[in-house]
Amino acid sequence: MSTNLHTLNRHERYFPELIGQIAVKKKLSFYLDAFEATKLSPFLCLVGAKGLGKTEFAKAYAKNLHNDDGHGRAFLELNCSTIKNNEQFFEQIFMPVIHDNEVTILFDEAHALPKDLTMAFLTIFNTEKNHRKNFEWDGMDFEFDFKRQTFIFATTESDKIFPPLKDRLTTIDFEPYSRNELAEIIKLCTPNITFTDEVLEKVAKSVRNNPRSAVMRSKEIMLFCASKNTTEFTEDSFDELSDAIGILPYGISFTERQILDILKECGSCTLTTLSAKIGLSPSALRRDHEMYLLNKNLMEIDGKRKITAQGIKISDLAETTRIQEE
Amino acid sequence: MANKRGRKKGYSPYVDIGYESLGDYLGKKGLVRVSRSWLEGLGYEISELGDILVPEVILQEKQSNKEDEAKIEYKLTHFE
Repeated sequence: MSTNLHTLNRHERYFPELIGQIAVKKKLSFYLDAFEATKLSPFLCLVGAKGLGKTEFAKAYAKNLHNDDGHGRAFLELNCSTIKNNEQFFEQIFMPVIHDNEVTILFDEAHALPKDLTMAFLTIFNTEKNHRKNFEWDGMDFEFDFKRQTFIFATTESDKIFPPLKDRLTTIDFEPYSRNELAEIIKLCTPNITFTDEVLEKVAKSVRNNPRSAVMRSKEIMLFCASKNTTEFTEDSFDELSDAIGILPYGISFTERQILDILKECGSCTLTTLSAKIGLSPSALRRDHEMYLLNKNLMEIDGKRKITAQGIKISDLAETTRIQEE
Repeated sequence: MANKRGRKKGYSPYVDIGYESLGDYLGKKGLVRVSRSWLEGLGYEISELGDILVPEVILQEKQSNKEDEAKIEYKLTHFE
């Protein structure tokens, strides 16, 4: 019991501003404790769907790393899709920012790393006992000191990372957020607004499964309250806001409502038919809209696309919203 | 009937290969043996010691390409 309390206090101490992801917090806290003792951190790879907070967690982790002189360690965020090759990386990033400095580097969208840099990392991150690694490239020698430089990778598509590189990284998997956690995030992001529990639940129900969506909804609530000069967000306020900016049940988009309407009308249909009726490419439909409807159990795919009982309910509810709008 | 000797009519010791295809095989830094006069015709100078001096116009173009190359997007945060 006391151990559990100790663990809870520890990860709450390291990540006081972040909601949920208890397993991630515990694992990162373990590595932060190890860092305090050894000044070494494993090469982490944060894996999870978009909007789950990978970058926020990487930043919070980095905030807990300290240099030899006790000062906070600088945090460098790189978007891998903008790195074209080794030359560009070593010239623009390594020499001016990393070399001989104490810094944490986040390689965001790590699945987009160029091939030659991936190969270089295979050598660089192949460390055993030594915390230093020298890498020779183009007749030059680049020194990496893993007590001074911490490397973190983040990706939504871990299957696209070259497997031998993935083997050298410690994977941290993100899990989905519960509705209560999303409600907590909304509350945290709207510090001066009061909600009843029912309204907060209704608002949480309208966001799309991830904290990024909850943060965006919070901003809309703040704007609404500012424009109405109020600090209270009621059920009527939510209805008014939904009407104004088009919030549909479960936070579905207008295209998703259209998919549900078509499936309700046709019974079932192929992806090609859906694509022809809606006017979006099959891949865009599959990637951007169907995944969410499947996740929410509003449609199913059994050879053809079909609407579920829950989908019919939501489609009817959205229809009511549309009649009210008109 | 005597055997015909020599190369067939139309034979050439040279073949055409696309630069891109050859580059894929050799890479950017592969060593290719070329004729001295051909290289000089392109504007290169070859010193007595055999060092090759790259024409100024190529150096300038290389520099301007480098400047045009997209910058890596990054953000550096210093925690207090």
